Amino acid sequence: MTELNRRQAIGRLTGVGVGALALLRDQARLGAQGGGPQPIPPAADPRFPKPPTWDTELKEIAPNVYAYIQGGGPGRDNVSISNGGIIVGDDGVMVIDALAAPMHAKRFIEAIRKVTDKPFRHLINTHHHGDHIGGNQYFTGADIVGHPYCRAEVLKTVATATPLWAKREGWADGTEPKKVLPPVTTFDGKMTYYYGKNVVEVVPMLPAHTYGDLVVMLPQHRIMFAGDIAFYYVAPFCQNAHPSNWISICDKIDAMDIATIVPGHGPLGGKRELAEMKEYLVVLKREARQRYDAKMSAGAAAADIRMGKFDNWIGPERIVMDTARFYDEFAGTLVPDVNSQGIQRATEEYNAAKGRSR
Amino acid sequence: MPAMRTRITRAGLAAAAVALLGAVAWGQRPPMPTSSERLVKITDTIYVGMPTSGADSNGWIFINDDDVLVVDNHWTPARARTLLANIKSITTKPVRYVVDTHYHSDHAMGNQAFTDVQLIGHDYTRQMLLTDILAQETHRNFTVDIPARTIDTLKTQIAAERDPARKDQFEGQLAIQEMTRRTHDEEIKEAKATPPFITFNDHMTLVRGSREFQLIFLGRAHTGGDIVVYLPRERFIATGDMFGNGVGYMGDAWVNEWPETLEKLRQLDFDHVLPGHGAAFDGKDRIAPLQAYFRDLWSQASALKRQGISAADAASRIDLSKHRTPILSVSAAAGVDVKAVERIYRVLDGDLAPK
Repeated sequence: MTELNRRQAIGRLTGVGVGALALLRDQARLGAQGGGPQPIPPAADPRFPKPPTWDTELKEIAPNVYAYIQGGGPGRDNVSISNGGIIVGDDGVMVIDALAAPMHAKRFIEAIRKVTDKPFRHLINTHHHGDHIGGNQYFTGADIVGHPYCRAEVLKTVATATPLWAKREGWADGTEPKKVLPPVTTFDGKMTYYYGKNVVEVVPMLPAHTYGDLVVMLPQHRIMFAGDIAFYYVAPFCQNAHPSNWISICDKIDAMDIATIVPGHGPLGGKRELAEMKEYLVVLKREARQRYDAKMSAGAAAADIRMGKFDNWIGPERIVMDTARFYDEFAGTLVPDVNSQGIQRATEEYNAAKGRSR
Repeated sequence: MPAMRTRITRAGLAAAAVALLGAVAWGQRPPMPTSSERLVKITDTIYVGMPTSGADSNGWIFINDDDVLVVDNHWTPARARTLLANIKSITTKPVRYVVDTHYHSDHAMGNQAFTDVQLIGHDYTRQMLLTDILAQETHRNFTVDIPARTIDTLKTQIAAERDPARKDQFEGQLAIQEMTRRTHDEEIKEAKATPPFITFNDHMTLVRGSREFQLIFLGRAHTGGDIVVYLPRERFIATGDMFGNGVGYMGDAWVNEWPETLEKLRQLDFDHVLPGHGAAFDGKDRIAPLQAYFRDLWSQASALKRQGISAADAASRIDLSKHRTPILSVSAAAGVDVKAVERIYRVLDGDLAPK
């Protein structure tokens, strides 16, 4: 990793001005860490073990219910690597999340076609972030289902979408037309889909990771597809979260009769891993609050806080946006949208503080 | 894409009214229907299959940019197939969505005739369609008891009638009643309650091209799970049997909650009502009288129950004649459907098992 001094860090950010903001907005859309100015990742904490690595697989976790886990972990490319799932019914398939980009979606579909040739009927978008809805256009024939907030957020991006998927190794070859498809079915309350013998409940749990999170539950099998309410061994991404309510929702899930949780990011797990992720949010909230009360800036606070074992998780630099988000909450200025300026300011402060301490 | 016409045409309304009343001049023999439904155009993209006989429901047809959505589908699979054939005569687009406004057999017994559709309804509608609704009181009431009573009445009238023209008219009506009962009894043999496999408990929005449908549960009313299908841009609303022509059947109703549910209906911004039975109409004028009727009925029935009066006695004593208007078609004398009072008594007793 390049070491930046304070001047270089600030220069990188301010030098691009409006462009940097645009990039941050792009990142917001993708829900990615890649591209644009980045915080200097905190150093790993040698007192704690490195998290495991995990491999890509479509795994049957109950009859006709599959989790699609994309491989990741230390030393791998984890950018916008998200998970999905499918439920195979008598005459069609429900898909949970469409992944980030053409190649991810196509690999997912290739895996699906090895277990079923039934048509796609429904595609659930657990939330509006690009790494979960980017592949929507590839699930032809499916009615896309999402929370009204998710639909509204995806619709906002239609006008500015590029005509082609930008060429990027492992993502897209640069020739494919890009079509942003929003959910066409939205709901309040609960939806239930009967897929063969499987009862599939789609339930909003929000605001948590976003103000439009849905989870997909199969009560018969005690399974939950939690979308990005669950990050396992990957730092939770609070860019447009309600972090305190996210903590409450973790408690709510903990009280539910659930055994298996398919996270939005990271390997298959259960309540133990969710509790661990919750601990990240709880620790960060406590540490950030002390510094907020002491009038320390969000970026300086993020540079000052040590997260212990969580410093070894994927994406430890998310502490900057996560701290900035907690600060918005403490200040009573939290809104569903991303506070891009707040995150940028925190990143500048953070990189400056990190530069000083080196 | 052609702009949708959002005013109900006068011709559409008139045709619908004729279909409802089967308007026949005094002393004139009614013609035997040649089809189980009459297809009536409301706008360029909204049609209805109106039943020509029996206590059957409307089947509402919404032609969207790429597909068709149907709300309610008649009391036998055969009648639903007639609806499908009529849809084919007006559009090549496939029926992709079928919505049940509630579980009653006259609205949902056509479900099984649709293939390759998404069948949508309230959680409660699914729950009830998993029970043996063809053996239940409501179904028997409308397909066995009422037709039998009607036929007996007509036979008595025919025997007593001296005027040959009137006699001929009654005989024509009797022939239709007997044909309806016969065909229903034959057609219902293949029927198997088919519950919706996509259900919701609150509010669901379906965007189909330029059209938006909102499927909304406003509260319990005619049954424990009535939903309305609301087209906010076009200001239409399909109301099933929770709001429409007359008071409607109350044997499975929540008469105590119905007025509040109607209050929520009033808050929706619509102009045109597409009811479960009878002709489409405009406006909200019918809401308040209906609320007053239900409140009065509930209060009279509750008071009589507290006095230990039986449901049958209460049904003959309850007087709602002050609510009589051409729209509500309430009896001019005391007396109300005993099924309504029995149901109110059961709700008061907490006895909610399907009867």
